Amino acid sequence: MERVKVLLEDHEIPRQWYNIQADLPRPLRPPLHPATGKPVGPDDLAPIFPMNIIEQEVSQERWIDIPDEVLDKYLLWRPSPLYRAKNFEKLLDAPVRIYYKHEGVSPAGSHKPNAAIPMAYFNRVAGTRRMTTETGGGQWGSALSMACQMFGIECRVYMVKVSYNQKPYRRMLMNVWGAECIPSPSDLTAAGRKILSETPDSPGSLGMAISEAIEDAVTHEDTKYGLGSVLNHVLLYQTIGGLEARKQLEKIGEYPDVVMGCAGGGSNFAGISLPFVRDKIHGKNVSVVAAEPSSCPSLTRGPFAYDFGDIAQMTPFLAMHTLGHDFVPAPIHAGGLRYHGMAPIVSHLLEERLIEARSYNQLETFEAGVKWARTEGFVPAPETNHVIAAVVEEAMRAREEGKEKVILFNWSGHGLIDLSSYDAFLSGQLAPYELPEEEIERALRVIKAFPKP
Amino acid sequence: MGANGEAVTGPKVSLDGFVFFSKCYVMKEKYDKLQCRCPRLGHEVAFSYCRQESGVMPCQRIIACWGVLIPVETWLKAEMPAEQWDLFCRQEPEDKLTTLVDLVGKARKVQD
Repeated sequence: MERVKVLLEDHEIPRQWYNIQADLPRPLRPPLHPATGKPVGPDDLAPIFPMNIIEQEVSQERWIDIPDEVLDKYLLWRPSPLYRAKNFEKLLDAPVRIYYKHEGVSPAGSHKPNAAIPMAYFNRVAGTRRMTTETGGGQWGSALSMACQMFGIECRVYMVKVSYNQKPYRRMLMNVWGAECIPSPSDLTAAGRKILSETPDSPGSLGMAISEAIEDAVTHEDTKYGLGSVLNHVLLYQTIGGLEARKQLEKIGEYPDVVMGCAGGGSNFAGISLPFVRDKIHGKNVSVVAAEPSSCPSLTRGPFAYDFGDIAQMTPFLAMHTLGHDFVPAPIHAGGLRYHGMAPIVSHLLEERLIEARSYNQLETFEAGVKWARTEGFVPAPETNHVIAAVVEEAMRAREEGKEKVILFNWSGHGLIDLSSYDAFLSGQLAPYELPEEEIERALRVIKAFPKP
Repeated sequence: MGANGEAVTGPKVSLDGFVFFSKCYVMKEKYDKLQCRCPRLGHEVAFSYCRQESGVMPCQRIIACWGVLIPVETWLKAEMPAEQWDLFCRQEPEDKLTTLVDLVGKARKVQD
């Protein structure tokens, strides 16, 4: 019988997090204060984060001890199992051995508690009585709700209203774990009231919810704010997953050729990969791949020459392309790894060519996720499907090259609360809109007849 | 009549354009109901949400997310006034920490 799971005993859990800032070939550029243009300092962050967390945010120490109180909570589900995806390997029929770190076994069903628990703990140590945060679909909000409950901290989560209405189960989870979940925009903050006065039926956005959570933290005594991704200390906490995975692979005499994770804000990807990026910095031959949403073939389509400035053609020959046809609006056309929602550490590693990014559109990711569920059984979170699509592509490359590869990836969460997303995919609601290409080509031909600049 | 007595066909191009842009309205109606997974929120949202996510502006990721499903870039160019399209393309978002510090400053003003 071949081994499917690699387990670590409780006592084998890593006792320190890994801080990649100590090993970066070039240091991160400091973020600049929007008002002064000077580097952001601890005092700028003190209204929302306790000092012990701010110290971790800027720390250059390679290893940071995990407090026993945090380890006690981690041990509820950690060390998480490392699986070999043998059924998926068979389906792919490629010369690959695929290992995945199952982070769906946490109480909240994802990797998010790896960061939420130390965040709540360090806040409690610093005397925080109450925490606020924002959430979209609710993965982070529910993880922080659970962590705050564990350490006796009150928690208020501002949940984007459209998500609040659409994702009731994670909202319920937050309530079960004792948190208050508020649809944003709300009338509890000046920011929310302003939005509601202008747009009473606003469906909300992450930007609005962050504004509310920050304002709540700044204007209430003993209240701090928690962010579930992007920041250095969050990535630091997540490295527990990659450190465990390295130990587990060592146990069976394996080392990955490729390490993969999906990259939304960067915490899940960083968690599995940073310990291996360290190996790479020190000479190990390992590829590290971030799978992000989403590539867009339409971006390379032919440009307009002239266009109408308004639909009714009142200004028929207004030149719209003041940026020029070849201009690529970077923040829009670039993938997530280069947009502001991505962790600076991850963006920096990309610039340093220590990692690479690959994009996958939602249709191919759901296809990969469904294949996974039908072979390995576990239903992946839709975010996790991005990395599964990357694994499929990597396996196909290995087959083409006739090269054996060991692939490790972060199976970052289960999709049992996201079944409506699978339903949307399986019922064709996410399918491409019919006949748009012909329609656009015809329109381009029409516009071609107009004068050129 | 034209110089040689032929019918003037100039408006035909404009008529085609009008037909196209009229179709934009129809497409908008259809697009608004389409669903796409939002990588920021973590669930499906309708196109109508993405095109107004930031109030007057569409979400910055609208092209990246929707491009595979519908010709969203072309549609946006047709729908948005030139200045707004320029503004949309020129957006340079700040990094997260800078955004947080900015929000702290705003919240402090509320507190004061």
